[in-house]
Amino acid sequence: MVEEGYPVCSLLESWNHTLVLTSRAEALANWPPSASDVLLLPLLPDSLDWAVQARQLHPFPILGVHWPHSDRWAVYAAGLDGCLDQEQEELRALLDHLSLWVGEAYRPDLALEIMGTRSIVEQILGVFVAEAPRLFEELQVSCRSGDFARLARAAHRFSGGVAMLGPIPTQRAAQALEMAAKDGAAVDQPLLVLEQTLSRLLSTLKHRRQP
Amino acid sequence: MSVVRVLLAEDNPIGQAVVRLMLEGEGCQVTVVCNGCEAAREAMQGDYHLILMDVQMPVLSGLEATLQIRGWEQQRSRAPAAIVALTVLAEEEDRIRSVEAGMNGFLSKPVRVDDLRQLIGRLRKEVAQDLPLFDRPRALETFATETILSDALSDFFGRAQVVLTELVSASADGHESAVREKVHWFRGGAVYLFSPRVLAACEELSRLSGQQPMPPLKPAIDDLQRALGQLEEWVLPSGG
Repeated sequence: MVEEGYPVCSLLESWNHTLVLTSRAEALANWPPSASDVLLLPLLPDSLDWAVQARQLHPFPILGVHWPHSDRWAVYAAGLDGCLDQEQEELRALLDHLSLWVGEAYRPDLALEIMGTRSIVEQILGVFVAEAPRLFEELQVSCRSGDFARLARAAHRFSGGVAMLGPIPTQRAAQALEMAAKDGAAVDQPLLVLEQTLSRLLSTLKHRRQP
Repeated sequence: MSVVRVLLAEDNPIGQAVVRLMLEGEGCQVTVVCNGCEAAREAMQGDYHLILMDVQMPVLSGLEATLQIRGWEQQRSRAPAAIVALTVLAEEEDRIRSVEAGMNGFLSKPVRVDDLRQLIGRLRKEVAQDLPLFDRPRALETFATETILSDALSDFFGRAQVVLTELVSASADGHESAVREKVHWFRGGAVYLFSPRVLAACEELSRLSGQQPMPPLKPAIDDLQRALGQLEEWVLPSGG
């Protein structure tokens, strides 16, 4: 679902996705768009305000397209599930792995259920924010090395760490990467999905209201 | 003190921090290592009630580390330490292999505080049961004569039954301040009983009653009642 005239439309059709074109006003009047799986939102003036308004009505996966990568923090802070500029591969990865990346980036209720007290949750979020980028870098290095066994181990470590926050998109994406590495399958797409979900998670944690 | 000493072998810094904080919250003493080799070495040097062992670790896996620890225990005729595997839910194969390697059970990752509490609660009972019931030489040193000691113990047990009943009803009615007051009375008295087992039960009760919100206290009250009964039988065999 995207407004007409964007290059992404022909791309999506060439990948056999069904497109429903609509205006933002029309989309908002029929929110959530139950016949679609994801809303693709191009960068326009006040797009973020629109997204915030829509998500307040009902949560639904929204992916920013044709959006400068440098703006991604503001995009995640507004509650969008992902953000892409012109990267075709990235868009393809996200759409192919839709079930992995949609959903709330962080669920305080799940984290509290696992860890038991708010004080432990807060301390762990601090450790996570500090450690996750380093662990992700380890994954990228393993990926570049082409050593699948090493990548599977690194993904297992990453997945084990993020699992403490509950079954959130980043955790599902890390598990998918681990499985792909173990099977010797293509890992570029799962790694991209993990990068996106992790960026969104870190942004959400950074902007969350402290208890 | 029935402090449960735990060796945590986990290579993930986030997993390490979570489990360590949960265990410390349960009053455990925790040592953390990052791989199977360090785990085996530390298990042979320390005296741990529980070893939580991640199965997939670098340098030496949790399974190999367990095999080494079990071999070492057998050579020295030592009682086997409780070793619990930390595995991801889906890894059925890891679970089977962990039992084959000599582990006592497993916890699924992410480790949940409720599962950990249950495990530590069971261990704490076993640890408390191993604590001495009464340190007569130290008690005599403080009270100077058998008569004074005997009077002090009789006075304590005479009052203890009443306070215990009050504690049970305060806990059942959810009167938190009354619960804390009764627990405080026991803790204060237990210091002069020279019974590490009773003192441990009091301290556990004191720790739990200090939590907000207060968790259910019945199991801890039962433990205290059991320890008091054992001590009374030991020091006042005639029942007074």
